[in-house]
Amino acid sequence: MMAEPRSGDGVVRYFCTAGNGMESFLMEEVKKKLAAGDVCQMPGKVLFSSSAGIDKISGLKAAERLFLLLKEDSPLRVSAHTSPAKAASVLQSRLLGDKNQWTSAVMTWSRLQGELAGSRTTVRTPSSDLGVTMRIEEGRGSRGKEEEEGSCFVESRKSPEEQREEKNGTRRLRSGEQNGTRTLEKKRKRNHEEEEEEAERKNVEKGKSAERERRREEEAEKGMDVELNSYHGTDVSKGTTDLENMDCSSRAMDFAAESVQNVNTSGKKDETPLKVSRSKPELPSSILVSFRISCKCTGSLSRCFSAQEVSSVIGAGLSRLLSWKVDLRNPQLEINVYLGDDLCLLGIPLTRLPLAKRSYIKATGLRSTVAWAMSSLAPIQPGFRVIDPMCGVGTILIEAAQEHEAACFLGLDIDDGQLQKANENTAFAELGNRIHLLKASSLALPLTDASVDAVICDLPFGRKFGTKTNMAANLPLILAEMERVLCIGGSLVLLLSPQLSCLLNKVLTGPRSHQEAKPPSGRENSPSPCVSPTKQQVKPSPQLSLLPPLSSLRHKATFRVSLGAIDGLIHKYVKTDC
Amino acid sequence: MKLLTHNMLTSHVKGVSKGYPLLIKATEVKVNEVDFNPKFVSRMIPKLEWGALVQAAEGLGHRQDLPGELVSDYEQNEDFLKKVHRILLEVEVMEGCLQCPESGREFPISKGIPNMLLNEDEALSWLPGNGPRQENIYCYSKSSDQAHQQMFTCGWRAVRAFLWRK
Repeated sequence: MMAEPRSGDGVVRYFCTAGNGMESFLMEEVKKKLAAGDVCQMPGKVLFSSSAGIDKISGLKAAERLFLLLKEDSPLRVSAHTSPAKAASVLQSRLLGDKNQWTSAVMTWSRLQGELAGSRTTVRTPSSDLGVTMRIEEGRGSRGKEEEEGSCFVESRKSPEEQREEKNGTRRLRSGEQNGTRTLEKKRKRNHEEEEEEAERKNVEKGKSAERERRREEEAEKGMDVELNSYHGTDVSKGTTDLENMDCSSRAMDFAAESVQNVNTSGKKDETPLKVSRSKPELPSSILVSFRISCKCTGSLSRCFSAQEVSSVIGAGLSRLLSWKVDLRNPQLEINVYLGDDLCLLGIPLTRLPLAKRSYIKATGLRSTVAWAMSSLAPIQPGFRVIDPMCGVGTILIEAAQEHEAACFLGLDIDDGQLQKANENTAFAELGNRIHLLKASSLALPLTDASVDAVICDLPFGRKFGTKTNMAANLPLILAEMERVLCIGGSLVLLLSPQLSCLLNKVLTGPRSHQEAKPPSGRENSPSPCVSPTKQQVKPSPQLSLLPPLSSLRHKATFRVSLGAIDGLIHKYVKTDC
Repeated sequence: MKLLTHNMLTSHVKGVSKGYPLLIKATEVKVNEVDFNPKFVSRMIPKLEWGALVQAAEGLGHRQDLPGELVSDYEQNEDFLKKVHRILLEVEVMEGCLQCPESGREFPISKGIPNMLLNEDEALSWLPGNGPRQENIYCYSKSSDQAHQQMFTCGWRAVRAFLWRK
């Protein structure tokens, strides 16, 4: 089943990747902010349909990357005994589908890119998509479009030799190296972002069609150039046009490393034509598109195929089906393919930088998505006072303040260096008026009792600052302080390491008096990592409690989220009046 | 430091029972324009210690004509909300210090950030039996055996802090 990229009422189907444990937050977010329908969640991904503007969609906070969904399908089943040629044809027939759906998907994609560029005109983001899409918008003029379709039609009728070369080119797709080229590209793009924009502006002003023609020629030349460069030493595959010949294509891939190196050096040599070629206005016709495939295989399928093989097979199929051109280095389109035991997913990334890379955060501390998720757990309302007693560089406060305009935020930290960075960060995010900073210890918060509405805190894990032992020992005191400054009904959201999470459960459940001994609501549903509910009854000591005020903290939920190397646990409590 | 923050600040120096409100001794005060958000201000007002705010504004010479007692129908009074907005968010103490009204301990303010950190010997004064938590503390002077056992699960520092008071 090919996903309908755009139906009559402007509903587009997207998917986002998300960190482990973030899927549920992302689901809530798309439902709440985008009124998304048909939302479906799977490990690491959330699929949804929405008619919301792309600026809203690209403003999602819990997502890592955003894709236009090309195709979602049931998982492929290929037995290990299938011959490579057979497997390749299965892949192609299942994943490629109808030509028109690809072209209409590309149309949707370029429309969204245009809108994205439009919504960003005030914000200067280093995006080369911006250049391309501005040209597209321009090309939308009826005359321009006619011209372009005409010229592209001519181009698509290339000499057979050229086409064959393209097909061979697809065999060199290799995801690992793609990453390499991508980072290289990023660096280059950043360096030349300003020049590009300058060039872009000039281009807009100049006569369009002539300019376009010229650049297309250049582009074609360049394409050939790369093609030739990379053909060095690929005699084995040269001339073979039999696409089903997997053997041959995998051999060709062995030369990919070499070819990519060539690409890199050529990229360094002629920086200028590269820049120009990146802004070529060819897309609206969606007939000739340069692309590359990034593939990820997991599960049983990864035992039959490598990601490179899948990439090359799909790439070859696509360029045959649509006469699109493979370009590893600087494609207009990147097509992401995910093949897993749960499903097959094809998508086109809509932004070059991940959504999780916030334009408004300078120095990062905690992952921005996790910080946002934490702030979303404390239902912040207008007039709320929110504190982070160990704010570090202030990531949590910035994420929260971005979301809630009518609340004020106070960050405390004991370290001057961190406060300095937090100060720079809030200034950079232009939130200095609502995020205030204070130097203080979390063991003795210099705040009056019941003066804040929410406490959100990432308790240091002791990895960076070596405070682990202190943290464990001080946890009851830190908690007592947080509890003290919270008003009744206020929320406490904590991010803890698995060890500290266990300790926290002990601290809070141990001294409970028996009327509170029943497990708090939400506990059964949420994964409670170490302490089973029954453990609370082990030491029933009704009138004894070490730090009685803590018993006013009611556990609401626990979430496990990935922080990269390790997992963290988000605990949510609400202060009650008992 | 904005006066909104000052309104929440208190001193927990050892032996102090009421370290609020802190006295502001400013050497540099800045006033910069901040977008006015009536919703924020009107929701914030009931949470403020009004007396402390007026006193602080007075001390900095920015009281304008704010009344000593909070007026009742402030939600509709945009003029009033704007004045409160101004002292809460636009007036900022950049340099100077805060002084604990009881102990006289001074907390420096540098580049707009107050340093409320206490020395080892001043800290943890409220724990247990002093200051605002008094009523909570006395209720758990119970069987020390069990207490010990429990405390060990909570960490040695806490235990020490606890026993040290008894």
